[in-house]
Amino acid sequence: MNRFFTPFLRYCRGSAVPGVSGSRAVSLTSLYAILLGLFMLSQSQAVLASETTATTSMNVEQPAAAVAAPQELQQFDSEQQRQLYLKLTAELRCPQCQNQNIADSNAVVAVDMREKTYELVQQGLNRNDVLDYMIDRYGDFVHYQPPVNRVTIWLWLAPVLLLISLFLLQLKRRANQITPKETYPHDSATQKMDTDRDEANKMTESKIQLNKELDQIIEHYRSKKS
Amino acid sequence: MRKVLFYVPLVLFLGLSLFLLSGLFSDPRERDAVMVGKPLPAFSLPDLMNPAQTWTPDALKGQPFLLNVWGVWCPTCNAELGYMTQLRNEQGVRIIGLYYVLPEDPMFGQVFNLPVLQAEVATKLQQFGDPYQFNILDQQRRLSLDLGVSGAPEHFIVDAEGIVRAHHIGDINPQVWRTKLAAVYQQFAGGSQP
Repeated sequence: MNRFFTPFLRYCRGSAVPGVSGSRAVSLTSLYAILLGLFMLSQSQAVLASETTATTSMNVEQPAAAVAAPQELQQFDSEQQRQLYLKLTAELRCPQCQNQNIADSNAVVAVDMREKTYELVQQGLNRNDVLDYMIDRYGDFVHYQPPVNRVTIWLWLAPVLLLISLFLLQLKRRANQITPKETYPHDSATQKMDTDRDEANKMTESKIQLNKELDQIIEHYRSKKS
Repeated sequence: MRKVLFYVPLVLFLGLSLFLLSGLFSDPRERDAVMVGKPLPAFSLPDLMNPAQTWTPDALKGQPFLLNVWGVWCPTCNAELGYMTQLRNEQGVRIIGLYYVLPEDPMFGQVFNLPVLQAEVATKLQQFGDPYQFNILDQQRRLSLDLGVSGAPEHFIVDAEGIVRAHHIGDINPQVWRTKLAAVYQQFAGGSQP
């Protein structure tokens, strides 16, 4: 256990770690982990934000090109409802053109869903009510944000688990590297390497033991002298 | 430990391969069948050929049926008329049409014209076969939206109590009928078959 965490503790204290490349690898892994985490967090918001902008411009530019042209120029009672409508049409997915949201698609069903969304927003329904209305009819598929349940939880857990296991693996490798380099046998057969290294470790331990004993003897004689 | 680590890439690779392989055989149009097990949504819509007649969910009950969402503008729907006529004649399947009207664009002078539509439908049915007991006209596509229809053709199997038992997106051909829909239909048609 100690052997396993020592490199990590040393790394945290910022003290010199034998084998510079190893410590750099650990720092790179953690840096990568942090960056990836930040990226994932920012991603979901960024997608929604960009789609909302796209919707706003679309409604301004091409009302005439839309299939049900007169209905596309929608009047809202309040700015809040307008924003809600834009948000909803951006995050609802067209069941026909599966890679477009309903704001972006001119498939018949997307036009109908936009109209229905408008109707429901005008009736004063909130975001969750409208989403439930659509999910009741078209399934979870229709919302770009998947619900967290027994099956989909892995979408969030898998990357985290992967990162943790990579990090642990890296630590483990660092822990192995801490044994002095010269004792590594230059042998390609992995099994042999394992046994060889164990022997080498034993040798190192006996060396340390020997050094200790020598130190004790020297200490003993020094104290006698004085 | 090292021995185990040696096989990690191989295991990861095989796992990924299996995952991607299963993707080759999945249907991207397949969605969660949210309607299955639910009763038909409320509606009151006219008959396509005889608008004086109004259809409601209650009027359809009593015998299981295949509800076919279709339109003359949809080539796949026209192509499956022949096979569905065969199903009606040979297996006595009760088929009801839900006519899916495309929105008209007034910018191009398009307006809804029932007599013209009726004539077009009659021509198509004469040409390809007429599997329908009758057709329900869903001009605003409100029933279609409530049923979770994303386009045409789509099919629902509805039992005698008006509960949706299957939802199939896409056309019906002998293979689809045999593997996916026949069993469900027979299960609920059991008693009422002649």
